[in-house]
Amino acid sequence: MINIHGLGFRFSLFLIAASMLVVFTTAEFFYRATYEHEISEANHDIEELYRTVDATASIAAFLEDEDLAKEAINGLVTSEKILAASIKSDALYYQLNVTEAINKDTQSRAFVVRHPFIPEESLAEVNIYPNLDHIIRQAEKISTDNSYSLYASALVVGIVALLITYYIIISPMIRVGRSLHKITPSTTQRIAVPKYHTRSEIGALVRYTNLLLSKVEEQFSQERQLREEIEFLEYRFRMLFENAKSATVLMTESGIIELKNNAFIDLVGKIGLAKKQDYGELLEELFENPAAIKASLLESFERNEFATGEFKLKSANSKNVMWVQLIASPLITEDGERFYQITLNDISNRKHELQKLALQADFDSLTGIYNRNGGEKLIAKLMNKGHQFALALIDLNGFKAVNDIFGHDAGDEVLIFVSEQLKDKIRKNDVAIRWGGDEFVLLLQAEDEASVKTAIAKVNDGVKQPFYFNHDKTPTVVSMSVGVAFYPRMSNDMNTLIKLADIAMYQAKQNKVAAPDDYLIFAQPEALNSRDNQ
Amino acid sequence: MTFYKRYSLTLTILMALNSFSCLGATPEKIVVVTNQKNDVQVMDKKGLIDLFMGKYSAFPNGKQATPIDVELNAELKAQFYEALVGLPLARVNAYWSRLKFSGRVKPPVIEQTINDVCQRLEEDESALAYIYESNVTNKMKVVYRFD
Repeated sequence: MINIHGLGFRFSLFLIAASMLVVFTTAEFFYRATYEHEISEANHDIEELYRTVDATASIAAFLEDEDLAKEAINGLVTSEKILAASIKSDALYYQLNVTEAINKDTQSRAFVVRHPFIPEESLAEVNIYPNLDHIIRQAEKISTDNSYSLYASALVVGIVALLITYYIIISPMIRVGRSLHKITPSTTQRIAVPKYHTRSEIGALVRYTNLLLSKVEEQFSQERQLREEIEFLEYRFRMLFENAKSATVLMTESGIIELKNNAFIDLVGKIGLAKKQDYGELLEELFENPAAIKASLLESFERNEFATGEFKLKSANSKNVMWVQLIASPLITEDGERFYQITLNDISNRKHELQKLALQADFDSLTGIYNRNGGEKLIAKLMNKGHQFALALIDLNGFKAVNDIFGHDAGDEVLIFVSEQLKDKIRKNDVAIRWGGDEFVLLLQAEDEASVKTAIAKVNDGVKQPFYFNHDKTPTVVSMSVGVAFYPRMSNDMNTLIKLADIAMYQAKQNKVAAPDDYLIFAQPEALNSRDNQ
Repeated sequence: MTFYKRYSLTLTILMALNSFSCLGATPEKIVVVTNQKNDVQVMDKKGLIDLFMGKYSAFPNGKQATPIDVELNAELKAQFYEALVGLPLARVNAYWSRLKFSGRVKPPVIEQTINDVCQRLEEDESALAYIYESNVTNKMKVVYRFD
């Protein structure tokens, strides 16, 4: 019940200590005062005692009667307060214990004994020696008792103060403390004001505490709302980040990845790398050409710009080549720490499509050999490089009939067949081009007619092979007419060259029925001139 | 001595004047007397106290003294002791009651009436008594007058 560190105990202790101090400092004074009082009381008592024997002493002195004198003196000495006494007149002397008193150095008190009938006449003197030992002992005893009772009352005051403070202050404070302990902040719970304390300081304390609790509750609810909003926002942001299709990482300058999303993990998985904490400074381990990337990025960062570029990733197998668009921006936090945010957009599909588109532009989709566009480019390239070559323009005979009789699908089959033959039969450095419709061009590495003839003959043998459609028993045979022009001997201009070849091919086509073996004709540059002249 | 005589005469006259002026209201004067033959001529108050209150049993000249109390005339007795020691009779009696135990001190001899006292005075040479002045005979000698 009593807490020695508690207010009540301290208060009482201080009160007791203070009273003890007061008692201690005043005890000596009280002791002295009591002592003096007792001594003077004793003197007074001696006077009183003398008065009781005054008449006897007076008569004794008058009659000079020793018996009466003895009676008076003995009567005095029976008192504890008197040690010795004597009576002395002209005719009379009697004493009791006087020697002892004088030995003790006791001062006597003298009383004049008057004539019993003539008061103005003094007859004798009575000397009374107070029993100082006894008187002092008594005085000391009373003084000590007084001091003790002072100490005792100080103690009692302390205990009473403890009880009062306990019931008036500490007990309600403990109750308030307990209910405060039980209260959960941010709820509507409040402390009850203790009984009889509505106007006391404890009541005020409780009211202020309740006000504080109300404020706390308000603040809590505000903060909770705020936190919910932040959590909601954070959830959204996380969703945005984690579900983003672009692989995104936040990394330190040294390359340690602080944050990465699922798309990044997938990307790393796709290129067959193990999950790691870092992939080198600026993710260089992921790329095929790390040095170039690093240089490009750092150069941008130098200019305080974000860096962007399209880069090829390393790949486990050559079939699955991945390209990404990289966007890297340096971030500096409020604390001055430097981070990089790097986003990698998978652009492989777009890259593949672009490549495909490029292929489509130069090759014939049906036959897979160069188309006219690709062919023209190739011719320009060869011309630029100064190669010598022979351009053979081939036109199929009877193709229109196949188209008309067997349909376009059959025509396509013929075209594919011819293309295959051209590809197979030419030499490694020669090129076959579908120039359009049933026209083909061969670029042959040949400077003379003989070698051209040999090459074309091989091709012709292939093309002339009988060709069977699905369930047709009669074979279809396609023949060709060929016109050849030499570069640069005949012309430096591609169009002129083609024109020359075309003229020659046309001449050959004239012979297709009359002289089928004469299917190859070399161009005559003069012929062009003559025709132009015509 | 002449001074003393004149003084006492003057006092007597003054007293007489006083008596005349207040006749009947003033009590009769008390005197202390002895036998005519007694050697003592005059006594003082202190000497009377010593004898009547028991201190001495002899006159200053050494001859025995017998103080006498009148028992039946309480008024005279009271007047005498009042005049002598200033105490009422009860106190005087109490004084004697206290001393009776010691046996050494004796109170005055008791005579019943004034006449008995007068008779004793005339017969006993050692007698010493108080009487009214009017009772004084020629066989008695006044040794003290109360003023």
